[in-house]
Amino acid sequence: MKDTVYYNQLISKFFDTAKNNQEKIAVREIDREITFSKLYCEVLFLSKKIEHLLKNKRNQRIGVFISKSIESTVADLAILLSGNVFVNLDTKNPVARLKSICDNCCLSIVIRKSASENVEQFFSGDVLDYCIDDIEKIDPYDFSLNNSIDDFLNRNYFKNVDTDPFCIINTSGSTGIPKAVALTHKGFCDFTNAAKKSKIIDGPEIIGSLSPAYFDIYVFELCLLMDSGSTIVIIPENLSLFPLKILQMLHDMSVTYIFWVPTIMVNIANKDFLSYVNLPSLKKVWFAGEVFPTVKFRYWADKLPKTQFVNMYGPIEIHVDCLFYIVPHDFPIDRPIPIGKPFYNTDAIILNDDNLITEPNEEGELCIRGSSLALGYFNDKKKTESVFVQNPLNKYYPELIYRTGDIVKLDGSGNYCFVGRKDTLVKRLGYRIELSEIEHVALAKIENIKNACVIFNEKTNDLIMYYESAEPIDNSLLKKNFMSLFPRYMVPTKYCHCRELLKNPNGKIDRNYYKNRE
Amino acid sequence: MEDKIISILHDMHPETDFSKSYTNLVSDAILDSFDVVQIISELESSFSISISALDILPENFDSVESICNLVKKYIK
Repeated sequence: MKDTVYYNQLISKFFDTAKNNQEKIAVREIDREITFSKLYCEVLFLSKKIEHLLKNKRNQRIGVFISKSIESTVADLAILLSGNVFVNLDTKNPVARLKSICDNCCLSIVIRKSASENVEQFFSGDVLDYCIDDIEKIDPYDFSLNNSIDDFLNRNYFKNVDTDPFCIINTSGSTGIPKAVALTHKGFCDFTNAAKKSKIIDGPEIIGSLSPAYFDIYVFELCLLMDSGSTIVIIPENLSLFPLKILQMLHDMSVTYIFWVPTIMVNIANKDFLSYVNLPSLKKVWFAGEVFPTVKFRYWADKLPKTQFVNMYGPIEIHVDCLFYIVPHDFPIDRPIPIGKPFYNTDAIILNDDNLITEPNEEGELCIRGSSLALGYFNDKKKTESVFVQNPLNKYYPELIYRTGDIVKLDGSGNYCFVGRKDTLVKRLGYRIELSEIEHVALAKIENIKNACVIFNEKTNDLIMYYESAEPIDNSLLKKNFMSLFPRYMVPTKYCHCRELLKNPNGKIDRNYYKNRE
Repeated sequence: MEDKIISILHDMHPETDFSKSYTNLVSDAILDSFDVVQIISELESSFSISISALDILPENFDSVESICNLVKKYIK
């Protein structure tokens, strides 16, 4: 009977998962760990605090200003249980950016670990301190109390439904304010089910978690914890600089599954790190977020002959990923890895400039249909309506598609292949960056810059800014300025002064000219 | 050699004065993952060396002095 229980929210499944895995480790850090029954107990405790503070209001956005840890996991789950929406913040973001995110998402509460964190400099609402001093002292939740979680989820006058937001993920936005993608309970249930249906994930995994908490990959890891009782092994951020340490940790903790961005996997391949550590437990390797060069993939495939490799594709706006490709170990080294075929319950259509389905071999924009669509961009109707649009192939009833902005085409075997972008969005080190956001903020915030054009060089990973000003500006001064405005991955690495930037005939900066100079 | 290393670090973090004897570049999170990859590639090209995977460890990058010692190990 158990399998037929219907869940409209993964958080209600979490109750059963915790009940069936009471003594199992739910989250592991390098030197501490928490079992499912203790985790459940903490989640209940914190969610009551949140309910009390919000006087039972629901669908409020709550910021989590805690870097990835047992505490941040408790916070995310407690926010869901209280019927609210978690917004994981990048604790390393400059204050100005944090403030812009908090304002845009209209946060009600920010949760932090201790009063020593100066949240007040970017947020003026209620602040909740939450920290576990000693996990040993937590009384595990007594599941024999016979409280069903549904009582908890249903007891308020305002019930949550599966189209309510689950979390908000902030990503680079072209106008200078990060875009806040509002994702739903339904979307994450749908993706988790689709992944299971595609048989690329089955039972509980031990997850080697490297993704920051403010990324969708981490949110999916959280879904696997709630859904199947998977264990999240948190790889400390400062270890991520040293692949040998990470791989040792995967080995020591018998990690079975990783979902990483290719950047780190390329670094590992470049220095042949896999020759020094055996990973017999690692059964599944998923990668997404950017192109994984085939030659580097082959290094991984040769070193881990029994591991399944899956290339995942999807923008945040469709809940984690919408296409996948199981990459054969002997994939031809001279061909790019396809992004594959759509997941169960997802339709991927390719539209040409006339909004018609493309002919075989014709390139076009990838558009997605199905339950996986995000609600849109929080607090930004205009931007939402520009990419979540009526399906042009259907004039009979309202039906939205998401226009990804990615140009793709089909190969001979029906696999989708990535060709390029329609706009200035780039992927650097796994992060999504709107080049025009950097340009926009440079003009608004840095004195004397009259015009700017930022170019990304994929080969060297450099972000190059060409800027127009009367006199050249000191490079280190520019860099300092950008570091106070952007997260590290968005700070240009090279600066070139021009008296005047080259424009094309319609008066726009000639981006292609600068691109081709690289 | 020390000056060259300081200048590589300074280019990445103009806000930090590396001539002072910092000893916790990694543990105090002054360097992040992008930096370490870049430092390695700049050290390799500036000093024509190839650093082994086994030496890419936190303790070899925690101070200007330890980076110097690492490079010396490769320059015979």
